[in-house]
Amino acid sequence: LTAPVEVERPATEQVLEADLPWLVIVWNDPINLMAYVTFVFQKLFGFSKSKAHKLMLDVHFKGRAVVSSGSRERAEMDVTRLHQHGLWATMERSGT
Amino acid sequence: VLRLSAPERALLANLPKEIDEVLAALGSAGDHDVDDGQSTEPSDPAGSGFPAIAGVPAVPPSLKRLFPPAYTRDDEAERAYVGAARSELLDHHRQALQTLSDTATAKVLDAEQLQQWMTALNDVRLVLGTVLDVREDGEPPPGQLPQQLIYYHYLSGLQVELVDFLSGWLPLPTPGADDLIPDDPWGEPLGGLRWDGTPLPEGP
Repeated sequence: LTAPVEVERPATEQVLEADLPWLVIVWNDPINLMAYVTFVFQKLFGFSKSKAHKLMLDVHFKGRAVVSSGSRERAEMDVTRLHQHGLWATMERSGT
Repeated sequence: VLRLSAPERALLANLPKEIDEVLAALGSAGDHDVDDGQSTEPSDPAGSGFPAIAGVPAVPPSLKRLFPPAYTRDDEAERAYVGAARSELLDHHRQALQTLSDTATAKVLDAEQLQQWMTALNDVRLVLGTVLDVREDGEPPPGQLPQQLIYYHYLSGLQVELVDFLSGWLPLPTPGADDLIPDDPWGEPLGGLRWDGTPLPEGP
């Protein structure tokens, strides 16, 4: 048997703040080739060709696309991998 | 099997070597700065437009595309990122450029070398494209240098072939990966500006 335990709940806002994932964003640029960008998305994130192609088109026509999200560490790692491939990637906390 | 003419191979050996020499200076300048601790002045002599980072040498404008910022609204986080990631990124680019330069005359390349070629070709294109001020709208850049422009388009064609080939060797997609990406949180289209403040091209 278990007795009810008083649990101290953090304020809702704090929970949301802590849970907000970081977003990795790839920005449009005039140099990287469309086929190359699609290839890099597939290679780094395991996307299907059609998903990678759609994200590439978002980058090209909308100016940017979110390609990954998660913890700050994870996002920084993905940004670095994209930078290694010459893509213009930044990271931001979602909702900011 | 690689079928390229001798002049093509000479170009592929020389262009990456030239860029690597600049990167090498960047690397050694970094060691030097860290050693003598004289890099504390926040200046941007190269005019790269990025915040100067103590202990990390400024990137020449022609190479800025090889070292994009990770944080554009948080200078402190950006400094930490550059401090942590710069040397690894530098090594990555240099290794790819050296592989391309060293194997430019090879008749057969393995998968790893082909990946390095792809990275290095893109690096060279990024540098040439920056120097040439390549624009989205396809207008010929003002004051273009015809020879570099020819190199740029040649490398673009070669890279398309390489990407096409390597695409056939990608592992199968990761199950569920497509569903991990959240919807674009800002809606569409983007407010008209890139992160660096330049205007976006018109949509389709």
